[in-house]
Amino acid sequence: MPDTIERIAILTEEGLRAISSAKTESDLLDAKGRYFGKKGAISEILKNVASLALEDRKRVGASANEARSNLEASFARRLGEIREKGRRAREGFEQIDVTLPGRGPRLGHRHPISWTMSEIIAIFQRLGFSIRGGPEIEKDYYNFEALNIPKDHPARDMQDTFYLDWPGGDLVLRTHTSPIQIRAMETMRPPVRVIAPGAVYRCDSDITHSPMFHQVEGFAVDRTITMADLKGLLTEFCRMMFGESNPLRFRPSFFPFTEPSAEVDIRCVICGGSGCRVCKDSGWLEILGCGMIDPAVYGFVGYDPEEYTGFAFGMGVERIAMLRHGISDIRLFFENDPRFLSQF
Amino acid sequence: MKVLYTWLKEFVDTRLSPREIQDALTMAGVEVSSCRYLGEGMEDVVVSRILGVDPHPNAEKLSLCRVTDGKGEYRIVCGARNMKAGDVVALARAGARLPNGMQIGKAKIRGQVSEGMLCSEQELGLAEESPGIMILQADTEVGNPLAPAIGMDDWLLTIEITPNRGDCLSVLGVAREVAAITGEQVVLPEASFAETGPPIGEIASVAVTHTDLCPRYSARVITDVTIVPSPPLIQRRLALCGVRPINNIVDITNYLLLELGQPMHAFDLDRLAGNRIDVRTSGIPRTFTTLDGTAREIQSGMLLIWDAEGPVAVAGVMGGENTEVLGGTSRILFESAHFAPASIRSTARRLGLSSESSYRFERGVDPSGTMYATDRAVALLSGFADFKVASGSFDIGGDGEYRRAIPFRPARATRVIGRDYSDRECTDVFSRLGFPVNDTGEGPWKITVPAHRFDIEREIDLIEEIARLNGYDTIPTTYPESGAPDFSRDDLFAAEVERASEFLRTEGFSQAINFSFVSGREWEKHGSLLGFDSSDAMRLSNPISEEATMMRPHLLMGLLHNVETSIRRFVDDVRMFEVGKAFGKSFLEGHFEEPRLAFVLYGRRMPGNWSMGADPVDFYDAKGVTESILRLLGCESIHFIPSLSRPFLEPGKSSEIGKSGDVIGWVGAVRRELLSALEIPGPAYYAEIRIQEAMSSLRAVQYRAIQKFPPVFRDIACIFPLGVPVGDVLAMIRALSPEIREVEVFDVFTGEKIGTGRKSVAFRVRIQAEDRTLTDAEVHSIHTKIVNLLENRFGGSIRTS
Repeated sequence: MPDTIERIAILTEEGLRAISSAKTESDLLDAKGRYFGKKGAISEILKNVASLALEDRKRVGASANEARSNLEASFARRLGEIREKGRRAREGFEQIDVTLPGRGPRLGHRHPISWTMSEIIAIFQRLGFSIRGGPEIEKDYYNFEALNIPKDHPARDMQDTFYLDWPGGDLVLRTHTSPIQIRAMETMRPPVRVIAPGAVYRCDSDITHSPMFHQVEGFAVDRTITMADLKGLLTEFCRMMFGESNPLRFRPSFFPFTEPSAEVDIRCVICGGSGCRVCKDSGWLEILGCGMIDPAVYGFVGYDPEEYTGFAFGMGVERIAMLRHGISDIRLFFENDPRFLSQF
Repeated sequence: MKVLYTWLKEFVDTRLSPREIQDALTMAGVEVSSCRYLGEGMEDVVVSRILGVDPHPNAEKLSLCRVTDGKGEYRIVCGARNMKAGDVVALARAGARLPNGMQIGKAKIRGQVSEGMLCSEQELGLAEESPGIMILQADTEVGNPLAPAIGMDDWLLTIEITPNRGDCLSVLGVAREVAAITGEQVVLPEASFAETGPPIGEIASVAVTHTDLCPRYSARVITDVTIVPSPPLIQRRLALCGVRPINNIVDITNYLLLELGQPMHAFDLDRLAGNRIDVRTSGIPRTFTTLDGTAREIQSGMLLIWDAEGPVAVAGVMGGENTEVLGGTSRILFESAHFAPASIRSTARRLGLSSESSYRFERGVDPSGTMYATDRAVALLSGFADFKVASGSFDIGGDGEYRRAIPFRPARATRVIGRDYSDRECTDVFSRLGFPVNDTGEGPWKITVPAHRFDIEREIDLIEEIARLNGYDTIPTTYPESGAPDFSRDDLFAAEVERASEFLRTEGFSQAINFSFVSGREWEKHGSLLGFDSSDAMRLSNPISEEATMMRPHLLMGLLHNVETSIRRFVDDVRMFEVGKAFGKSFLEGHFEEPRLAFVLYGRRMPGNWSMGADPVDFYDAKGVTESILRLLGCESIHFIPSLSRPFLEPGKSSEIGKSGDVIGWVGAVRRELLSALEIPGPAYYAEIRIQEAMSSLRAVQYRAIQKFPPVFRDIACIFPLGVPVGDVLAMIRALSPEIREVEVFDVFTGEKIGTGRKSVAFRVRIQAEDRTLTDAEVHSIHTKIVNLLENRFGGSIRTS
């Protein structure tokens, strides 16, 4: 039997040579006929396999089949080559430079602030919040008074306010997006679930403070809303924004228009908690402020504080964008330098 | 605020370490931003004594000291001159590392072995600079580590106090907070002394005219005191907490301010005219010189302290120069009062003068603690000074009830927080806070809140105490029950803007965000060119810089400056857009504020395109983008009107965009004068859209049957006078017949061939009926109508090829 196996090998080698040296389709068909066509040498061997002893049958059959499929593949490849060569001879051929750049406008760049802001908004929209806007030139009443920040109260020191040169002096550039809470509640009855993004202004400028920056505010009021709900919602938000496994903590704090109030810290995304310059060695990064809407605020919008409870939260978009993209100077956002914008 | 751990321990003997206090306070809402060990880096420095000082044999400026740390003797080469044999000094032996990172080794200095270094205050991080090495008190025990010997075996906590927690602006306040967390006891130190002087009423008098602004005024008098520096402990604590030591009297008032949070003032009694005090507001404006030597403009209504002749202090803010304690002072009146917070804040703000005192009064100082503070001051002072205490004291308003009773329902706490609080948990928190609880039956409880907690006035304030002192980490995380989603016009607005932005990005525009304020000076420099009189702009009364004085009336200048920046950064093709608000005064509503979308185009039409030339952008590129944006915003039936009313755009190359009578935007070439002012060399095109005016309430498109009958196309070329607006021609052709489905301009040219003052425009018209195949005769009739229109109405002549 080794003879037969060896013969198959020899035939295969001859067949492959005949295929690769074929110049025309008829040369190629000729080679096929000789080696693996119906009456070809290998087909003949296969026909006679039945007459062999059982154990030889397997080995010879397998070997002959393999040889045939080899030759067929080689045949098909060579046939394609011969035909393509014929087509080129008839119709000509040109190779264009596929490595030259494509045409059409290059994509422009997103501004990292509006990018981050859109992502924040999208998360809360998925959680059932709808958008509300409000004016940037705001009345003192909406920016302070109705948010439980009376005149001559130290809480006004928390924000350096821009005042407009205006008769009566009661127009300011809003220092936060919180006035939208008041404006929205004035026109809506609970249940209320609002997300309020926008530009805000404070008279402050250094590498982490810009006189104009952006906030996203959110709030919800209904009959059964609790601080536990606030914790649940913001935990979900932080997971979506900063990753499933990044721990966070709620820390008591103070805002005049929420009580109880909290600040939310996430585990420092730079050092992972071991302490670094960005988190001032605390291992935590303050990411947003929140709390239960102070009953005093309901007094300004005509909600019954015994019937309704609600929460509010607010975050600085620049701060989040700086953490996400590793930007250390806030002023870069407003210079619109092409070397900066083109990275996004 | 800064608090020393050892000082804190005098008020609450807590088991917590400084680090544990940092964490516990932070998690209870009193944020400790840093906790620093003061002896850091002094571990290797020992108290030593100089046995002898000899000149260095090879260096005139160096000395050779023999020093002992009690056990061994060391030879130290030293460059300072302020030491002598017998001085107690700080020795860093070879191998030590100093706070500034310096590693001390055994060295040979000018041929003499030095086995360490004698340290200066500066090298130990105790002072910014020091003239020589540190010389300790002569009785300091030799051989001990340095830090405890100089009181630096301590921790300095830096605490950020929120505006509601004025009660924490003292060592005592922080101690109360620690006790509220741990359940430990706050201990108030004894304040007893012997009254050996004359009755106080014989040597001084105190009156309060405006008791509403000064509910309590306590005072004591001491006599026969000598003004000298305070002992080291007092000086060190003041300095470490950021207060400059001055003399024993001033220091003791500052010490009490830091310790109890009670601002105090010491008057030189002999300089108080009539030896009397009155507390009343200023009737007329006047000038008054405060301790810091500054003349202050006092306005009427500001609360002052008066003697028999005039003001001697701005109440609660700062004392006057005229009654300041000086070297020769011997009789002192200590003031310890409670002033109404809003009055102090208003005065301090109007004077532009914030002091440690006004800062505390604004946030609320414990009215029940004024007398204790004076007594404590006198008692402490008696520990290191000789004087007589006048018998008796003044205490106006001392019988007032300053505590409040507030109702509290545990069930309400559960309702607001979303966690069950047991009665036990609630009473426990109140007891740790020192708030007595009454009526724990069925109705609301009655909680008595001590006077120092100004922030607790309502039930919700008590609920906050329950939540924070049980820990926010014990609040579960649940999800709000969802109500029906509420989709607003603002959601639609945001979605449309996002779509337009996305489109612009695919067209190669990058997004810019510029400040909403612009430079009024720049605005005025360009005169009327910016198209909005600067007096019509909203101006800031307290701008942060000259470059940001007014709110932008349109978005052009920001984007133009962005082009300028890009060119400077060697980027010569600029496509940028911005979405933001424009502001100004308006006749009807006082002022307006409206969202705009603006973009700028500069450079080549197809930057980076290697085959299609380097044509610069022109008006029609900007117009095409504008039209697409308007379509995305659902804005139909708009028209372009040649514009002369936007002076920042080039006349003849700009257009207003009209929509049923409103101007919803403008597009055109930026005026050349503006470009050259910013050194922008080529033409730039600009468009600005008033988003809300352009947005239509999107109605669902109504389907019309697909046209089944074949269209016929006719190409018509026509020569017009140059001034004929092609837009009008297109509109009129379309209006000729319902069978004219589409008219497209496929070629425009001018040139000698057709004569000057003329242009050739080629149209392709698609003619198609809904219900039949048009006959040749019908098509011909429509074609004739078009030709007549072009010739008769627009003075065109049809070109035949």
